[in-house]
Amino acid sequence: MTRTSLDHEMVRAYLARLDAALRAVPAAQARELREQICAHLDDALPADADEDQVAAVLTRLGSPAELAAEAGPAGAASQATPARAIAIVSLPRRLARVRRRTWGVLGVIAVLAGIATGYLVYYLTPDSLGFEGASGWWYPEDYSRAVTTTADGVIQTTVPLRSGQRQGYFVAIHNPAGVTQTILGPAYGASVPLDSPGSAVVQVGVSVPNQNIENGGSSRSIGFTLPGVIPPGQIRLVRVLWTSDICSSGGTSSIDTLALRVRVGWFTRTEVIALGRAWAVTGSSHGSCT
Amino acid sequence: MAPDNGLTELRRGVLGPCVLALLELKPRFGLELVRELAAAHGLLTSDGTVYPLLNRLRDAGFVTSEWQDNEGERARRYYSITEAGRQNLAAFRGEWDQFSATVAGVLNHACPPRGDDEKGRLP
Repeated sequence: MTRTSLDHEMVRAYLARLDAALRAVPAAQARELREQICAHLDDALPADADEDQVAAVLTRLGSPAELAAEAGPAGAASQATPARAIAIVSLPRRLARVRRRTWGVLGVIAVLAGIATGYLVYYLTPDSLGFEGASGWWYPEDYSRAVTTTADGVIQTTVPLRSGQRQGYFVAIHNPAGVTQTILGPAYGASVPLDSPGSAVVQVGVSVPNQNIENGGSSRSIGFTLPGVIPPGQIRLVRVLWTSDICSSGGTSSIDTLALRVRVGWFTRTEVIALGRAWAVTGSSHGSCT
Repeated sequence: MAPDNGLTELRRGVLGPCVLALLELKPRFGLELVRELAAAHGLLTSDGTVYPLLNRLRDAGFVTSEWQDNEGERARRYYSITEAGRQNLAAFRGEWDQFSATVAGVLNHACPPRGDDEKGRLP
């Protein structure tokens, strides 16, 4: 095996001290510096160098602690290149200038961002409207013929189809949130009206006058309007009407959710309300088909 | 501050441009650079500090390095100056001429006394 200068006892001791000193330096930098120092020693010392030669080269090389310090952040700061020196010196000054110049603006931005975040949280996270329990078919010719069945835990109320005529239901809707919610209309593209028996002519109305309705109220004596406001914690009747356009015999259509566009503060969102039962029309066509 | 400390800091500050100036002439390997710098009396405090400096110059984009395996020699890592390094060196030379002239003027009392023509003042 060929002996090199790196095998010299003094060199090995020096490299061991260098390894110890480089523990505080990032591994990649430490590895690279050790490789450079080894190459330097290999070049500077003949394989058969005596102790005086080795000692002289190691002394000129500098102590391991000194090299480790130069390789670390402190060394980088103290022995910087001209460009980096300028950057290091001017960075605190630039930061100080930025702080003075933009402190007020940053403060205002932070306050506005906080207000906006609070607004978003307040108005986008309130509970959705919910079904309150009271409901029924809207027209006497429907509710007088309604048949209620239960299958697999689902209650369905079914009436005969009256093609070309208005049919619909009303439900009591509760606003459980701490903010007013305004119903703007059906959410097209959701389950209503696509699943309804009259897909093109669904009308949604919210009860007026603006009074809280307990237990469904007297639905026939009140009017409906849109948009309809439901204040926090109150109940309104929501009426859903359509003109049935199914003319084939034996057709059946049912819905069990009501999808609405609802405005909360400045924001509008879609709320899908489970109706507690399925509303269905079925059987042979009655009335007139157009 | 002791005078020697001032010179030590000054040496450390100018070592980078001096390395770039040597590499401007031709690519060199580590020990070759160290010997050139050591030959300039008083410029190098210890040989080993050249290597961390070379690594910082490379990280700054002023120097590149590559291994060369020349026939009859052991494989060595050669350092070369980059275009960014040349530009940096040129900028430093311009600043150094002005700076060294200013320092020399002050040290040799070449600065005119207060109250003289403003044009005679040092920048």
